[in-house]
Amino acid sequence: MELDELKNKWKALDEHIKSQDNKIQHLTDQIIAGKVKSPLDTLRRHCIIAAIFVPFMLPFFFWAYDFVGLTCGESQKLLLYTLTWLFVGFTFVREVYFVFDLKGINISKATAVESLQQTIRFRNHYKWGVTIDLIIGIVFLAVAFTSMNQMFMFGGIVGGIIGSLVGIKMYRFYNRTINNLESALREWNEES
Amino acid sequence: MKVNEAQKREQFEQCTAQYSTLINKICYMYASDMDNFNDLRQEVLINVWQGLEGFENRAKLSTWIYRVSLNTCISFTNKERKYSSHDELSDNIYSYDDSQEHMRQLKEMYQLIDRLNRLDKALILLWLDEVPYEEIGSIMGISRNNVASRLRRAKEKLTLMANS
Repeated sequence: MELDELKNKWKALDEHIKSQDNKIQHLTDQIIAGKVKSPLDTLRRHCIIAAIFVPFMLPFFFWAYDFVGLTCGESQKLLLYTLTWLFVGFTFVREVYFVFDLKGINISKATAVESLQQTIRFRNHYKWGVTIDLIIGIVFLAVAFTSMNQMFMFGGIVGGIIGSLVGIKMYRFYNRTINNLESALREWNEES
Repeated sequence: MKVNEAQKREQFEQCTAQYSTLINKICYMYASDMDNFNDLRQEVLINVWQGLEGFENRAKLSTWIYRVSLNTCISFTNKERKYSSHDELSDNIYSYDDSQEHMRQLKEMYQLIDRLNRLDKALILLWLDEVPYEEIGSIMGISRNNVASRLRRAKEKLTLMANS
């Protein structure tokens, strides 16, 4: 196909795509009414809610340790409390960080290249934030449930396995999408 | 409703009515299937709505719509290409009275441009719409001279792919 021919076909697409115009009107009304939200807005809202509620996990865990009773020595108890602070603290900081990091994606003002860079940056931060939290969470779970009786240890192992599988799947998903975006940017930069 | 909200609503409705074809075309060229097309289009419209307050009329509105549409599609197209799903997308886009040959040629155009990387694709789509080089540079974030040289390379790639 010659390039002039391509241009003609591109213009011809206008007539075909007109059939979709009335669907935009319906979407427009829904957006104005606030009935649809962008995925980034939804993610931002989830991060804010998580940041508000995560600190309450601390008193809950401490109450649980007292209620269930710890069956470990003093050094392991100290390790358990340290990991509890670390896990809850890191999760809280991560959620707050994501709320501000999302503001760095400015679709309506950035250039195409900047917008791609902003998206890659945020996704990398998100991927590593979730991965590190998962690692801390697994270690925390392992210590927590070996500090309690066998019933909780079993629950901890199951929780750890499920969490790991979900975490690995998320990590691989984000890796794939980030690699895709980065390769487009790399190819673009190599041509300059 | 407050005056500025009413104005924003009116501006949004005018904007989407005027540029609906442009938005649909860009989303079509980046989508892999019908669901992806609907998602991208929704995302573009939401970004237009949210960005309208910050649009300061320093640039042409059409340039800004291109910017928002392309930025959204470039950054948020994730799904791997499934050419078999493109048939479903085409069936929903093309009119029923189109000739088979015409539809085949439009699909060929889509598949050719789809083989470019997402940034080169944006460049070509802007060129196809005869957007001036200065505006292309402003949207992509490159100089006018860079636009010319990158376009030349992208066209060479397209010609090679079309002939292979």
